[in-house]
Amino acid sequence: MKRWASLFLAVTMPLSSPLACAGDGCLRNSDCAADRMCSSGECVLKIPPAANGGEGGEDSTPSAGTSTAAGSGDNGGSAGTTTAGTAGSAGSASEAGASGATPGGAGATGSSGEGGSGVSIGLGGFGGDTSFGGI
Amino acid sequence: MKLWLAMACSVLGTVAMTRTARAEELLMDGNFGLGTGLEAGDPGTGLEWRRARLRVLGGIDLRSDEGPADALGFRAFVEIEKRASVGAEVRYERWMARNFGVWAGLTGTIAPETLFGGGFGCTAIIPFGKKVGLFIEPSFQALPLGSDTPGDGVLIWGLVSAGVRFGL
Repeated sequence: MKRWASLFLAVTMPLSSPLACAGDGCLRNSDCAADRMCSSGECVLKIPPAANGGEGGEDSTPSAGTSTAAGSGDNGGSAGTTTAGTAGSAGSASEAGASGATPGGAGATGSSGEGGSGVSIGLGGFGGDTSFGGI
Repeated sequence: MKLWLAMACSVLGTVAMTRTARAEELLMDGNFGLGTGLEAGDPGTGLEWRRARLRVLGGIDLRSDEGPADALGFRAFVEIEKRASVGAEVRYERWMARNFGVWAGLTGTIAPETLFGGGFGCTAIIPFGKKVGLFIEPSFQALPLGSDTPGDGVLIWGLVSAGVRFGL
């Protein structure tokens, strides 16, 4: 009986965590938390978080639309496209121009492409982010 | 007359000595134990081996008293390491001797992820008394289907289970 007990222990309990399923890696999806899955031996999120650029792109689209209107105002206004383009179409272009010193640089590059440049900035998401962050 | 009397007596005697036909009985054995072993799979980086999750298992074996060598076994198990998973197994068992049998069957887990496959194994029983014994059961199983394997890999289990077996 003692022999069988020791055999049982020897068979069922021996291999501890380094080799065991308590290790960091994964072999099965159920090794990972509910919101993760096993990929290449590591647990990764099932649904990767959306990139900020994507959000900026959505928001920048309408701002690009307004930028055409604002952009027609003056070049400084085009700087406002990225920032105040969304909220600032109300004509606070002068204020935006004041605060838009840094975006102004972006606007300058944007002015080269006119509306197209506005879109590219918007896709980059920087304009969108800074504008919303600023607002 | 004597002839008829003798015939009637013989018929009555035959009928009286005949045992009533017995209905087929279902024999049932219960099992409860623990199991672990080795587990292999390919998570995308090549075949990897590790210790299989410790599992608690229980089930029954059904046999007919007219053919006790053949049995149908049902098992349920819970893997109690990492995220606990619940599974089950159905198997055909062929008992080569009173205390030794081989089996093959289907197995799988149903939660939190699914996993399905099949395998085979054998069972040895160390009897303790008439109705109780210890069983030890090595098995090999391959599970290619289900959502628990990353990619299209096959999960392989080489397990050893042991526990108590008792007549019901």
